Amino acid sequence: MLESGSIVPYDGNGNGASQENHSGSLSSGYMVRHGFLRTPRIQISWGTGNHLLVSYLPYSEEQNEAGKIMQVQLGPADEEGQDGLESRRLAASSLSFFIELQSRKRHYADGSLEAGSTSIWWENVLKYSRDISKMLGSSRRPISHYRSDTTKASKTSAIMRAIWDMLEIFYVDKDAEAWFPERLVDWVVTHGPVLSKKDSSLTCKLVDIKWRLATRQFPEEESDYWDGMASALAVGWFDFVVTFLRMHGSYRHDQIDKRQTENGLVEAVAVLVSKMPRLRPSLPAASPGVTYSFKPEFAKEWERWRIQVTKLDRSSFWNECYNQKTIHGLKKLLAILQGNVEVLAGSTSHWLELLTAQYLHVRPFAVATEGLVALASTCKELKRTSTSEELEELILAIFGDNTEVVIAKCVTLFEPWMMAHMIELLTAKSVHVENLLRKERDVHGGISLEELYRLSYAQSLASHPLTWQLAPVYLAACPGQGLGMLQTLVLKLPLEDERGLALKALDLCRIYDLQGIAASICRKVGVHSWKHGRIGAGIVWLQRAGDKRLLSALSDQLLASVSAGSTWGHVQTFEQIQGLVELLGMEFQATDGLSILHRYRNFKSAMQNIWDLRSKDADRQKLNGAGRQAVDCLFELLKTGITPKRLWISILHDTVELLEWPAQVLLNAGETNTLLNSLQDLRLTKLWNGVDNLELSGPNVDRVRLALATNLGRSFLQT
Amino acid sequence: MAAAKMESWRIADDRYVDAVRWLPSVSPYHAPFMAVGLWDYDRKKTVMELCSIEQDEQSSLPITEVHHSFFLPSRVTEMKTSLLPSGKSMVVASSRTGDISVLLVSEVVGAQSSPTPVICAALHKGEVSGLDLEPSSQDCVTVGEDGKINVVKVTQSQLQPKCLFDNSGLMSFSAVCWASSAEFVTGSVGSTLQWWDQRRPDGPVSQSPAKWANFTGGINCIDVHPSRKHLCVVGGSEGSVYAWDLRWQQAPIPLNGRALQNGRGHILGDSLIGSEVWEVKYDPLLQLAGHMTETGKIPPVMMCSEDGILAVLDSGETFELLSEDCAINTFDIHPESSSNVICGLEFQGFVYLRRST
Repeated sequence: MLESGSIVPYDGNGNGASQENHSGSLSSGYMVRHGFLRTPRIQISWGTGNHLLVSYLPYSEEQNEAGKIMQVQLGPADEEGQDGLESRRLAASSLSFFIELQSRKRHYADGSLEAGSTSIWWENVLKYSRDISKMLGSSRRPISHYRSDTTKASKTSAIMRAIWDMLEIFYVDKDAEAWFPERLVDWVVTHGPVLSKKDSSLTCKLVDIKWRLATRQFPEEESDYWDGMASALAVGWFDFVVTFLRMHGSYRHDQIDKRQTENGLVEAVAVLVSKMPRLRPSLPAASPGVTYSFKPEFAKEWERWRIQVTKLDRSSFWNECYNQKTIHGLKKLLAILQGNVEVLAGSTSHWLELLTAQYLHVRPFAVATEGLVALASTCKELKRTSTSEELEELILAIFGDNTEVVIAKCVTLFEPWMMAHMIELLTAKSVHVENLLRKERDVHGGISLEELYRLSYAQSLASHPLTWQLAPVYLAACPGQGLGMLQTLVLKLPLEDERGLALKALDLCRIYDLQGIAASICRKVGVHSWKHGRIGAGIVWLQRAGDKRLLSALSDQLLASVSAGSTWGHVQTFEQIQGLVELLGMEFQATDGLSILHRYRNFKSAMQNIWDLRSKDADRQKLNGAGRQAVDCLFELLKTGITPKRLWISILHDTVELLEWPAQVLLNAGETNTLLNSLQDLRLTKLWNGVDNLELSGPNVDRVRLALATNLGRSFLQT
Repeated sequence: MAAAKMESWRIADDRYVDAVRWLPSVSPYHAPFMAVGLWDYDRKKTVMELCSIEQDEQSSLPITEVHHSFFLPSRVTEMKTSLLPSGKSMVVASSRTGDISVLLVSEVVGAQSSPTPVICAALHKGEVSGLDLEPSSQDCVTVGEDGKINVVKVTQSQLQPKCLFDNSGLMSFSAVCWASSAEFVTGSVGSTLQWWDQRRPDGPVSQSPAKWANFTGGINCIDVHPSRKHLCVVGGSEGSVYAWDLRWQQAPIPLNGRALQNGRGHILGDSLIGSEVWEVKYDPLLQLAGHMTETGKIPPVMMCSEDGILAVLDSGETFELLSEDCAINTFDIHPESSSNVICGLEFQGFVYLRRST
């Protein structure tokens, strides 16, 4: 053990002064004192997080042999790493969106929406969905403490965001039905990389080409220039196509060959691409195309544009162009614009990309999800992908509005976070799904699926010391078992480790109205403080808990230590206790068990007062007044049932001075008799109950007897 | 009035922020520097970092740039900083295992080779619950739940700890603050304030009345006014913030709390903040702006709470500066440029606040 205040060398590992052992799977063992056991015991219980507590309580004749408790870390110590960080970040940042949506939901249910706000529920959910999607997208932390990105964690969160956005398209956004093909295009542009396991997705390929060719003088001479452009055009990267077409070598002025015609053709295709009519409310900045949101108008324009494409395809200028590569490439682009399925299939790699290309170039008028599943399976056949991964199955289930499968897949694919939050998306507009998720089921103990997923998420939060405070919010949204679990959570907190934690827990109890739990927290902390020698804190906490039984046990111990010399702890001086009593104040007196201490303090200070006055040679009048006061305090103390009998002897012993009061009788005959009766009472108690620890003989008791008898005589004489 | 104009930014950090304090700066041209006590759960380590707040080149948002970092024995419970006459700054952090770590940092933090903390071990049994640094004498006072009061003399070459008072746990201290180079105020778990004098180590010089109106729970934090030494302000449970004037000891003045009362004891109604108050500090910014004219008035006080509110209490009014969705556990006002405020959040880092004067 380190000596108090010693300076220890700094070792740079944070182990300078602590006895904690950070390494290995066995960590921080500590000792515990326990009562007498007949047989040695081993106990195993759950600790916090991934720890198992193994306690060994040995059999011992001597009580001072301590039991030992070891914490065993289950699983590898660093199993969380990046995943843990990422899911913690997710949990903390999604909280406010969840709270906001829940409060909107309550308002919505009450029908108390303020004027001007939206009255359509799915629009609320859409806002929530967009917020969370944005949050998922801003995944990278600005602080550079942890290098190593593109890990499993970031991959998972990318997949999560992809599925989240897709759920939004199909389950939340009613407006999306009108321009569904374009939504799909946007989705593939944003989430393309998650589709393939290796980094070989179309998006990656195109990004690679973009970087490689951007600095070339004649990019068309590269082999993948035209292929890349065809792919980009197929899946809707129009800005990429237009930019790269205009980088074509024929635009350069300093050329020997005559390339004007060639250049004219390239420019014509570029113009056609940038003039393509799109059925969507708006386009992202710098993206080519002309938007239409009114369908008949779009149809008209699209027809006219298509005619222009065909015209160019059949124009005679092709014969005047001598660069076969360019002709071939441009023709391919035109074929894509005309919706040639074979070329589309050749230019895409994943079936979902092909599906998107189909919608974009072949059936731009498709309404919502009509025939989507059929088309998707056609695309799969074209791409010859027979086996599909879990993620693809999930996407197909979303396409097919197969909610049960969606739920089942998400449960296996994602963390509990996803389930707890995506329920809101699924139930946004479909009554059928709402029935599915919100119906209470007996199989799940009378709770709905929605609640089940929230509970399991809350459980995963509660098990971690950095996230447990998030759990109550989700538990509060669980009408069935939320409250019970919240109580368990608060009760199981490791309060002993940290002063602030108990206060935080009490604050939770205040918010969720858990008075009973609050009392037991106070009791726990109180007993812990008391057992660790912090009497004052113990009393304060036990008072807060309102536990009279423990308080009187504590005061008994405290009193015993004062009255009968110290057998416990370091508390020896009465002055310290006096200070404590003063500090604790009036409430302290009101508490049953502690009132003895208060009265005893009053008696003692009255006696002290007498001694003080005596040493100052105060006048007799004053001294007598003080003496009388002490007698009053004495009888307060001896009122029936307040002071335990074992303390009487020592109190009576203090009384001798009052009994032998010079020149005046302080206690009258009646009072003296009461004291005599008390002494008799003690004797009887000893006789009847066979109490051994009462010392009723010896010079001290004799002195008390003598003083009492003398005083009785004096009082008779005086009256 | 109080929150006329301000900007705030969140600075993310994946570790738990136990304490954050500004380092006093020598020149106003430097970026603000701070000392942070962090708990790195994933590595099960406590880290102290000295970092500056810089502007990110891409996003032009404030970010932290770490200059030095150290591992500490166990989690930080309280941290204080002070400027030494030599121009160096001193950082003292107390821990859950009863130690304090002292660090001397030279004027330009980034420019020097890494300083090494000195650890003074086993000052208390259990955690050090309160700590304060005296700016002129560099004495460091620590209090603990074990009922001890220690004064550690910090000299250029060594630490000299001295146990000033020990009540063997009969009373647990929860907070401490220097009032002058010899006097300090302590707060106890039983909600009592005591005024101590180093020259009279056998007991407190004076103490607050035993019964505080509506004051349940304990005292979490204390601050003594830098120029009006008789005025201290405390924060505790259920949103209670009280001022205690040594000249009128019997009547603590409620500034915020469950039932805020006016001078004649009438209840003014529920206050905005009802949870634990984790930190209180006199707000120098508003005092500079000329709010010191009324003599009987309590100067404006800034506080942060468990329900995520950072607010300034001034003349019976509450001005909310921040309302976060998680607890604000600690904050600090920059000693020189008091428009800079930094807060430590329960989840994911800090909030940096810049107020305009």
